[in-house]
Amino acid sequence: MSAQESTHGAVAVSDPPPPAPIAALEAVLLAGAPSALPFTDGTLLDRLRGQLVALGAHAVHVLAADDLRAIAAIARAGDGPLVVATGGLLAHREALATLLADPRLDTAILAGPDGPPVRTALGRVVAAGSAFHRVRAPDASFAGVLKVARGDRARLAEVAERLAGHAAEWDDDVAALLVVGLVRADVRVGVARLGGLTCERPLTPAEVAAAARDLAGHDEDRVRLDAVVKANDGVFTTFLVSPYSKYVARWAAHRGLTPNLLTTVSLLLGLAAAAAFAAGGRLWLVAGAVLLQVSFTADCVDGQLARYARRFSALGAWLDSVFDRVKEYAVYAGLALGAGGAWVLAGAALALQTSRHFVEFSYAAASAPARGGPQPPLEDPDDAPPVGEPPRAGGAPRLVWLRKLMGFPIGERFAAISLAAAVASGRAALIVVLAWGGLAAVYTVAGRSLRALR
Amino acid sequence: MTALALYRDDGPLARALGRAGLPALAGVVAAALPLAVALATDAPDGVLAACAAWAVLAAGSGAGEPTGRLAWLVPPGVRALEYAGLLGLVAAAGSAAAGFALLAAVAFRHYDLHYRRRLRGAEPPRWVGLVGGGWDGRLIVAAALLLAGAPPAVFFALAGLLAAAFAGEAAAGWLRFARTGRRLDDVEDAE
Repeated sequence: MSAQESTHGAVAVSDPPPPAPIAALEAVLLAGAPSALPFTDGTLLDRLRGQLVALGAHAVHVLAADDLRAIAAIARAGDGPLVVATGGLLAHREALATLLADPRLDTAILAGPDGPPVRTALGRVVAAGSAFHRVRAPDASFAGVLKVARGDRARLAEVAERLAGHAAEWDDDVAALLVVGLVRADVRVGVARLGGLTCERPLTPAEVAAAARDLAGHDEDRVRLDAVVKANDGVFTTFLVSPYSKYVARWAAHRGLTPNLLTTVSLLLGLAAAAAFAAGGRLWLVAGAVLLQVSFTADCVDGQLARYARRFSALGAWLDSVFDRVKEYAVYAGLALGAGGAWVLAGAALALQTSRHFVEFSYAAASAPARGGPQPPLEDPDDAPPVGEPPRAGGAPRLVWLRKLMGFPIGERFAAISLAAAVASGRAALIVVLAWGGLAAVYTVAGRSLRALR
Repeated sequence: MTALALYRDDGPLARALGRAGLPALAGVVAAALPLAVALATDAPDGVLAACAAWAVLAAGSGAGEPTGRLAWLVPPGVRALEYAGLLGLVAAAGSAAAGFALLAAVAFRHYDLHYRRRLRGAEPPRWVGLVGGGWDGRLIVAAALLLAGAPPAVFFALAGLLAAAFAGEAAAGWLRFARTGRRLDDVEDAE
């Protein structure tokens, strides 16, 4: 079995399901003055400690807010992921889980709207700020929680020891300084985003009350459910499938179904659709169209379930991708058979779609920005200069959706196939795929070539 | 190997021709034009096979790492060239269905090149590439089989052998990988 599925079998049936406990998690809380602020029947620190224990922390060390040497000692002593957090945080449990329970993130920070600035590139922190360290063009803030992977604990210890020599001079939040130190030491520091959740650092009882209102204003499960929908899906998927498929994903999570199971169900339904198309005849074509749509919904659910239950694996991603291709090309073959042997059309559709995919793959590979310049030493107040141009702005929302529609992504392809096959014929479906796909290829290649040559 | 060089899927023949070091994109365009005309005009088998051989020569001379601002157009160009060529050659041999089967087997290999690299940072072993023959080897073999008057069954068998080698090796590799339980960060399920 894959990494994600090896640790925890069943998902408890409750609402919302608690995140699976994180193995060997250890935590360090930095108890500055605000952490003693009262919150319900304890302090902010008590609440945060309770949340970390609920997430699986087997040891929670509470240290003085500037005790870097103790952090170094703890980092060297233990084994397993280590969380370092500011003690006075008031956060949703889901916000903490976003960082701590995501197996794709090794060493990483929780990023939100407030806190010391950071600049990220490709899901990685490339510059981090403190009272002493500047960040050019920041695009997020460090929300006060740092997760250090098992393999990076020794580096954390080195960084903490080095920082201890500067602590008096750089009087700042120690967690933020540790992030600067790790980034400057070239450790890969990932980013978990708060999304709509709350992780605040109140400094007075009045701010605690305000933060508590923010906390109560969000439905954690709602935010988690909304976050499972992929941001870069096509129009059909975003507006016609995801609005209901995310509820199917939540249901599946509560039933303990795995993403790989849904991926497999989706494949079988897709092959059944291909077989129905191959049978030809109006009723079979309609049946194939319906089966293909059910298969596509299952395909959307598997990814959403993986994100909801935070079960990710390379194997799961591979199965998902390969099965998508198998389904689609089996459907082309089914349509060709049903149309009395339209194999040239089906072959042309396969050739076009594969070539279009390789435009995507190759363009992404060629334009992956350089990782950035070398990191300056810890004692340098300036960050590594930003490289490359900032990400292309999205443009007006309606144009973005139009561009996506022009790209003829998988949701649109399957919808067009279902519709054309159901109301016209298998041959018509293949012709639609070729015509729309051909336009999409010309549009994409022309646009990108112009941009590349500019 | 860089992603773009890997995605080309050059076989031994193209790699040898690639020592000429001609510009890759120009090579692909020069390769595609006669083939496109031959396919569009239903040219006789001999002409079609000659166009396929010319395509291997022209696009092969730019084999290896593509450079320039439009380097990303080279792998999809090679893909379109090979698939159109194979489909045309096998259809001319009497069975477009066998052509589709061959394309499906080859497409598995090509997606595998990408997914394996993205999800595992790995490349298929060399022997699979040699058995596959590269885009160049497959075009030459298909052209030769057409000229030799091979029946559709031969092309179906070829597709079956390639599919077994590509899918078998990929599945075995993934099972081995899954057993070791190593994980990759940043696995995002793009289309």
